[in-house]
Amino acid sequence: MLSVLLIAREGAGAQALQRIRRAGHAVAATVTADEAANPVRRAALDLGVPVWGEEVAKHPGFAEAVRRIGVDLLLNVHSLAVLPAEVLDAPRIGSFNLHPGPLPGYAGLNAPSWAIYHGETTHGSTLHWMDARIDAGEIAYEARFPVEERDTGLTLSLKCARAGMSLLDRLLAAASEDARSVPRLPQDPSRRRYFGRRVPQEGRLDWSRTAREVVDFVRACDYHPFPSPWDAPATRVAGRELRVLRAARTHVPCGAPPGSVGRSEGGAAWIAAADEWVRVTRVSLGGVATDAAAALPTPVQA
Amino acid sequence: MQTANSLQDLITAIFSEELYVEVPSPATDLLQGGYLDSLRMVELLLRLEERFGISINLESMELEHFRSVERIALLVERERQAA
Repeated sequence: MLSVLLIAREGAGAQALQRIRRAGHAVAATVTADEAANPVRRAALDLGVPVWGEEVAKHPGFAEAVRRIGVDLLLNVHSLAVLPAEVLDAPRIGSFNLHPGPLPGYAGLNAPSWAIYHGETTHGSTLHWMDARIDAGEIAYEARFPVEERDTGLTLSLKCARAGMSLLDRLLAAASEDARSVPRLPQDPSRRRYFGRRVPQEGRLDWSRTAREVVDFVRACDYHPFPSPWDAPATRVAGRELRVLRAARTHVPCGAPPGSVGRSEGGAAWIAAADEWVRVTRVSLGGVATDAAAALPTPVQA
Repeated sequence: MQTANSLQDLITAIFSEELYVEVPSPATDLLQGGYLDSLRMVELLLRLEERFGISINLESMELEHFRSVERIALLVERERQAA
């Protein structure tokens, strides 16, 4: 039986906690945000696992405490807490991070959204050894899966979390059998791309891009019904400032000026991109979600 | 005919037995209390669809539909009547 220190946030963190316990291992403690709506905190309380606030990781005595309580593995799941090197070195076997993206190509924040924005057709999850660099440690396990045309930021994030749980199972099985069997594959630094907090195109749609690029940006921002880390992309159409919540390609060629409204039908509005019409179904106008046709009732130029 | 209370009981049981979440009461705020996150919501939807023979479109859902077991029961009843 392993003793795991879990540093986690979000639903993936709560799932990891339950997964570790169901595999028969002990969770020494959970380090997570001190918020009532935190699913990790809820899961830990339900299981009787000690909950520590994230500030504990910065305490000078924390690394020694990790050693003293006999932690075998430190597992970081979707937490942005920065851990000092001595904390990462404290567990008996090592410290691991579950990253919702393939490495080294999608290091940093919001990897699922960036993948959709870039039009990727595959994505992945990575479980890697942690060192002082962000998302740069040796890879232990990774999974790849397809990105479908209807995937959104939310659905792709959920695929990452599901795949991540399988990687966690593999780590727990290997570590409990023979820790030396956990792989260590160095990342190629020349292929590293790091994504920070910035939102592409400063959060604004550019209708002079292709329909595919426009729709991919909308999908990347879509975490409905949950808040999006990027918000929905903003645009000014027909003199109205709005955010596009949902859109799809029509594959119908278009020669109209980009950003002009072609027609409105069935609640949707067709808006010209560089090459094709884009069928916009839902927008947010003044902070209120509405059918695009209701927000843009008549075909006028942008 | 299934009463509202029995539907709430069934949904509470789904939380407990299949999502491993103990919800204190049908009125408990599932979102504010951390009982329901994006992962669990999608799993809940799958189980509601399987259990009650309904088809729930994520695109038409709002968070408020999942605020409590009471509201989820109302959603299920509405979808059953629409089916």
